[in-house]
Amino acid sequence: MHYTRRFAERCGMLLVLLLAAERAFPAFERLTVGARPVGMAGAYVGLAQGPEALLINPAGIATASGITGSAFYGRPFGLKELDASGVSLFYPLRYGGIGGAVRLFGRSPYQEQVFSLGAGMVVLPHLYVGATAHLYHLRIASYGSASTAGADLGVLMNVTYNVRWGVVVSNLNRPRIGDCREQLPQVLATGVSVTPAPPLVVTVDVHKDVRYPAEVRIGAAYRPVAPLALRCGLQTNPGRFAAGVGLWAGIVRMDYAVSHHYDLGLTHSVSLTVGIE
Amino acid sequence: MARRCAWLRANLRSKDGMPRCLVPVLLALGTFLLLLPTSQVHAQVEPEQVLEQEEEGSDSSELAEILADLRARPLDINRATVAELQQLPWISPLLAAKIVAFRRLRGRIQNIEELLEVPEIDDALLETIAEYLLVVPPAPALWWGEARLRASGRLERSRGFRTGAYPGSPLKSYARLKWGVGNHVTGGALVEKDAGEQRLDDYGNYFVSASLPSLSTQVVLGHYQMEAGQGLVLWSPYGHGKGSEPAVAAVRKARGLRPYSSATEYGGLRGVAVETMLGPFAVTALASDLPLDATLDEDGMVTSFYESGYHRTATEQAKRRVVRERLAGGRLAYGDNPLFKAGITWYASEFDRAVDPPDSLRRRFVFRGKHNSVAGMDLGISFASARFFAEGARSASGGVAAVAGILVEIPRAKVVAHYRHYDKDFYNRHALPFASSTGVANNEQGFYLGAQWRVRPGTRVAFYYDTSKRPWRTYSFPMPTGAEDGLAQVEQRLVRGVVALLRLRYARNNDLVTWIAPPSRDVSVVAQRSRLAARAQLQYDPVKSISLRGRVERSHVVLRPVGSPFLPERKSHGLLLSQELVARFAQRLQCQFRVVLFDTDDYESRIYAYESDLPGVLTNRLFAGRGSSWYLLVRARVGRAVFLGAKFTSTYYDDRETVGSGLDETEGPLSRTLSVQIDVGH
Repeated sequence: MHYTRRFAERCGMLLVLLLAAERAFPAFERLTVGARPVGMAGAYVGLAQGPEALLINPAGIATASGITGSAFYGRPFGLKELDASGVSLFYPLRYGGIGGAVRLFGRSPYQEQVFSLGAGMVVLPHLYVGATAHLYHLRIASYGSASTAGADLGVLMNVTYNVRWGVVVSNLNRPRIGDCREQLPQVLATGVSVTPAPPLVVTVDVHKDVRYPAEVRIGAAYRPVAPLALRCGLQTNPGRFAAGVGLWAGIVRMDYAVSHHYDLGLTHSVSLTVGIE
Repeated sequence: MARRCAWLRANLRSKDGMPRCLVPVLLALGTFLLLLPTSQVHAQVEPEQVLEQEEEGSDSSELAEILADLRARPLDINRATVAELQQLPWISPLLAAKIVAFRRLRGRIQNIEELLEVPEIDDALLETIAEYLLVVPPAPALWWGEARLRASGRLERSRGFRTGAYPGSPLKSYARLKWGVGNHVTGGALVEKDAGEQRLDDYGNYFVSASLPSLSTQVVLGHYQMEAGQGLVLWSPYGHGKGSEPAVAAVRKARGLRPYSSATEYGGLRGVAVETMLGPFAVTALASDLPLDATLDEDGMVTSFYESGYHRTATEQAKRRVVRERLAGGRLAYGDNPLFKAGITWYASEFDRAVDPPDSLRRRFVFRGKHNSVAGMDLGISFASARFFAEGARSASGGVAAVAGILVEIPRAKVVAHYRHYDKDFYNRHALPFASSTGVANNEQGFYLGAQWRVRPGTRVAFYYDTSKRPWRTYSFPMPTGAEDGLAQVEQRLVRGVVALLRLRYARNNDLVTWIAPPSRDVSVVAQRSRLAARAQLQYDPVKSISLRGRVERSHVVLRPVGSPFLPERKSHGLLLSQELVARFAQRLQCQFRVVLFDTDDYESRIYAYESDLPGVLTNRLFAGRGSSWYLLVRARVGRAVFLGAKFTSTYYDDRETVGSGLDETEGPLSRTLSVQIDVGH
């Protein structure tokens, strides 16, 4: 596969927009998935609750209290060519939990598929570790397809009753894909979530992709009443801010988030989660 | 297989067919391993805040070895001398003297917690030093012994091996044997080989040491080291650098006469040394005959000494042991009272080849000739909570060196002030006083101020500031210059098991820097380099057996051309993120895993990070460029007497197609290293 030609033939609008964001577009970029994390600008490594944890910090799998499933959909920057969607499922076990997820990005002629299996374990009452194995599959019309595998490692710690610290290394094995051995993103992220009062959570993350400047993400979630959650956040490199809302109805939760990129515009995301958390 | 056998034969036999000394060493080692008595081997992580020395190029494993040995054979608190106690990095000479005075007053210490009655010792300090001290030492064994074998190597073959420039194997090997009979006779031998060297015993040392209590005498045969005063006359290759223990960094803590068993190839002496007590006086006599590496000119004269220790290529092998230094010296010290010490140290040495570097301004004041001698006088006086220390020395060239300082230690706080003056023509290759550059004891004047303060339990503040000037040009910088650097650090225990650390480090110096000047030509200009590094670290120990540590470090470097108004200043930045997990299982198995992501604009904004390693190894990694690195370190105890260790390191450079330079360059962006070690006996 000749990737120079391949990228040249990808959506022209996509390239223009992404160059405007001062970043090239590698395959399988670590996009924040799920309306709940997106509403907090992706500052979720130190919180890692819910099925989204499988794709953000696998140690969060160990915190699952019941069988939980989630489906999410997002349209980055309003471009249907960049549609991101997927489903994830949690299953709790005695000493942690297991989970799986399928994630899709893009449409024909360019589509990324990620199949993930993860497990989390309670090492100590306040210490959780987790790992996720990903199978990355890239399909480009008229060029064929390629696959590779990657692994994430995560740690989550309840430092105090109201402070949680999380760390995740994604693609620790430095996977490469295609004939030209394109390197997939490798990211080290660390984050802290603080709950000054039960209805309010504040999170701060630092994400460092090997190839790009470090990002700082700050997020907050507030539940004024039990069925409602309000979220907001901001991120650097690239600069963006986000806001979101969550609604509970029994065992069903509906989340919506919108994030704004200064150059590329709005991204809308929705999630539907069913389960006991 | 045939190639391996041929290589082994080549290592076992010299060119004339005679077996090398490797054979008896290996035979002795094998026999020793079979006869070893069983005992417990320790497997602990060395305290990083002490081992970490961020000075560029400081990668001595001496301190790691000292602490490993002390952990294996802790000090008897009821017998330890001031010199022995102050081997611990956290104990100053003043505190060591106070502990000895406390013990004399008490008669005998029954429980280690009694040390808390010494005002300067708090819970945190006691917890740190407790594992190196014993109240009731075990009954002396008839004999003891320990052996260490280590092999390491890069998995990628460098250009030197591909082209045949390095004729030896890519393996770096190390074997050390130590033994003792009772408490009075010890011995040891070490052989070491670097990657690319042909002989397994490329470097070796050995010693036998006997102490005769009835005569208050110690005799060392073989390799030994002598540390005296503040390091102006005689010292080992190791001395504290400027780091996060600022109040002890500037104070040299002499350990006196000791066997030398370090793998540092340019240190130590070889011969015989005797130390005896004559009333309140300690008298030491030294004699040494040691071959050295050097570069020779056509006339067979020494143009420079060669201290890297590498003998891989034909050029490097031609420098191996081509000159001998014969040395005789001694020391007379008054020091029965730990509160007052004074001594005179001297030596005279002769090289069997004349040292005659090419004449140039940069070498105007280097040593020339065959003979050198150095004599010095040192003094240490303690009163109340202060200790005054000083040393002055003069070399045969007429150059003078002097240091003077005062250490004040009160409960929860230490402050040290230190002044140094080293003439540009002071020459002493056996000196290692405190200086701005490790091991350079000439052409410098400087003042250092350091302080540590335990504000309250759980809060520790450290600070130092060092300023220096060089009145004469250095080898690499063509004019007199000055430098300053400083550190400020706050360590705060947030809640039980959680410690946060914030550190700022600043350094400023002048250097010759290559600049691209219009129209695209490189010029060498004098530039002022300002470097600021900030570190934030969070450590969480949920239980004693598990530790997690996350770190963010940022460096910012500005290069400002001096006297070149048309050249713009250059800025560069670096960032390092790391996360580490340490887990210990039932005192038998310890695993350590660390992931690092680094991103620096260039070499100027490089970031150093201490890295845990196998026992006795100190690794201070340099991260420059863009990429990621991880390592896995596993240490396991098998039975009571065998301890295994292995470390695998993998580094990927996202911005390079090759790693290293010259003959050490490897193809591809990946660099992987594997090390294994076995320790037997204790």
